[in-house]
Amino acid sequence: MNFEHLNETQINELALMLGDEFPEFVRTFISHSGELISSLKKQLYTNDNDAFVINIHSLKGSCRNIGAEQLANNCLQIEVVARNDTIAVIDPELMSICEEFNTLKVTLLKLARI
Amino acid sequence: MSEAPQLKILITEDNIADCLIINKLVKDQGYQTIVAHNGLEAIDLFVKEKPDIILMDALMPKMDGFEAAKRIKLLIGDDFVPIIFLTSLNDDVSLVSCLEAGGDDFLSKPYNSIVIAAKIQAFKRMVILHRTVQTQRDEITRRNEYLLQEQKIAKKVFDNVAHLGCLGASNIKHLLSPMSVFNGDVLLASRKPSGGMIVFLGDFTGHGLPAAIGAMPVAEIFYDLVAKGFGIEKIIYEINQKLNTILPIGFFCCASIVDINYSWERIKLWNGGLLDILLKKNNGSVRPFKSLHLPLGILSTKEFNAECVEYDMKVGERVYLFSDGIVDLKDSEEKEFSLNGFADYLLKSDDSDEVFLHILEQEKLSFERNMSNIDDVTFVEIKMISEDVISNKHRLVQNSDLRGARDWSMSFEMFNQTIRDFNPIPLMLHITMEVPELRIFNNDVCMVLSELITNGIDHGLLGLDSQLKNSANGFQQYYNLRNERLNNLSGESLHISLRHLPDATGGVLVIRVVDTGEGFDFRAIDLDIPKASQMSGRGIPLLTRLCESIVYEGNGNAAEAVYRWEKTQDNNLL
Repeated sequence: MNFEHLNETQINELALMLGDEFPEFVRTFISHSGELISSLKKQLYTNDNDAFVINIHSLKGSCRNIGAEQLANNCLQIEVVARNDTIAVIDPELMSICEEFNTLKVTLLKLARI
Repeated sequence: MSEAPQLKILITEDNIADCLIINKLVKDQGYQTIVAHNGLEAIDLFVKEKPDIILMDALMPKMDGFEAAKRIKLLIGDDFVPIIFLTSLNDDVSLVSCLEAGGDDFLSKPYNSIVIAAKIQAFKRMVILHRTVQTQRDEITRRNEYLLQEQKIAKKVFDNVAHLGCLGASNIKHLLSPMSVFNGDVLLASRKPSGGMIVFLGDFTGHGLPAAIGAMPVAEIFYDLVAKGFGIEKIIYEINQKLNTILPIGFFCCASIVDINYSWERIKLWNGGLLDILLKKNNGSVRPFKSLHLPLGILSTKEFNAECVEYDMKVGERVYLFSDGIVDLKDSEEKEFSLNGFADYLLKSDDSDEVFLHILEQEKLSFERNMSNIDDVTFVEIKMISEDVISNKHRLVQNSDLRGARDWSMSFEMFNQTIRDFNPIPLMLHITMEVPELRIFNNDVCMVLSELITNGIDHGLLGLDSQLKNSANGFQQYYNLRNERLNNLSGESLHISLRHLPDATGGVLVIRVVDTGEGFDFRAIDLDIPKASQMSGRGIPLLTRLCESIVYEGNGNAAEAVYRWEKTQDNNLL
């Protein structure tokens, strides 16, 4: 298993705690995070700074919770920029987040044997 | 703790994935959970579900955690519902915002199951403790209200028994300041049927109900015996005996008792364990009377001494009685109130209103300083007045049904031992008061009875010279002689007969007292109103005013008084 993008201990603990509910959790995480990323892109487009900050912060928090540290750090960098009201300089495609999220998705699905 | 009801925890988290994790973590600890996804939902669920603990995400759409926490804290009121913020914010400013919004603690992401379990467990204990305290507080409040209600009812009964008697009389001023519903001080005053009055100030050990309850029998005995015409010594004796029987060891009643005789302008005092009684004289001086006895309720009847001090007290002179609470008072310079200080004050001031204001002021100062150990403060001033000032309206009028004994006669004969040890006046008075209309003339009848009986014993049987009583030293000599001769009495008797018959306008009571003595020269007693300087010899002139006729026969050892009463409008109302 490739754990480059996930904290191994943390995700294993979470899997152990959730037990049978882990695959369902992974599906929820992937779909909810995908939705958040879509919202973020929209908010960049509409220049909605406040909503953008709430969503990027939320995504960062859930990444931390599953041990997706790389993605959490990418979120943090963008959150800091957004909090300084400089949303306009952010990459509208959110490439750093999307690419990392795609990699993470593959790893998580494998882990949950989906 | 396992028996405690399952706690309900409200989780407020907008991120669905995070929400799943925290919900699972909390449920695994055995708690019931409910979930909200933003601040508005959280408030709604808080109102509907009344959770015990709230976990609250900080940043959320619609309404954030800070605002929701503030609003929920307002709804919580007196209860304790801890709010724990879930946050990945970790800068100081954000954490302060959590506290300012009413947050009680934080949980930071990523969640750690052990930390979450420990925090919830700690708050669970606090919630349970808070509820126990609240339940106990409510229980205490309920019990306290119940107790106060009970005390109020008891106080009504108590006040009916230990009523203030004739404390409203124009020559008495008093100050009673109870520190609780029930007061350890008792202040009683009653007019004697023979004129004059007796004032009793008692201070029971302790405060509140246990201290006050002893006042009930004291008041009952006091009012009963004074109304029946018993002397002060007998009353003190009876009260001591009662308290000695009913009070537990270590409980007693310090008391000052003053018997005021208007016609003789004399007082009799008894002080057992209270502060000095002070007499402010017309010449400006102040005479203290120290406690010479142990408080009431300590000694058995055999050991107890009800002997009083007698002293002249002219019209206008004032006597002061205090309870011990007065020494707790402090004046404006923080000096403790001292009796000497007060006596000095009395020396300077001739205005009794000023004296009262002085005491009130000190009491107010002490109270304002919220002195917790302050005792009940009772203070009374009695002024000597001339007999004429006392109006009929203060006379004891006892309720009567109109049935009673109106035509009867009786006779009572006493021999040596009884003459020495027994006061027949209450008994005789009791019988005459069976004539319902005579009750309002209680005072007059008592005065006539006591004059005739006292004269019969003192002059007829004991051969004492009332001229002796014209000087202060003579009084003592008179009483010493009286005791000595009473103890040596032999072969003598005193015969009292009473006869009452109604007539058209009212009724006639004939009192006849015959003694076996050698007689005395009743003609020597001046039947005119005596000069003011004379202390004694007032008795018989007074009788001539009260009675239709008063006749001495033989050598003066038979006396017959005819007392006629007439129906007045007031009397018909009886």
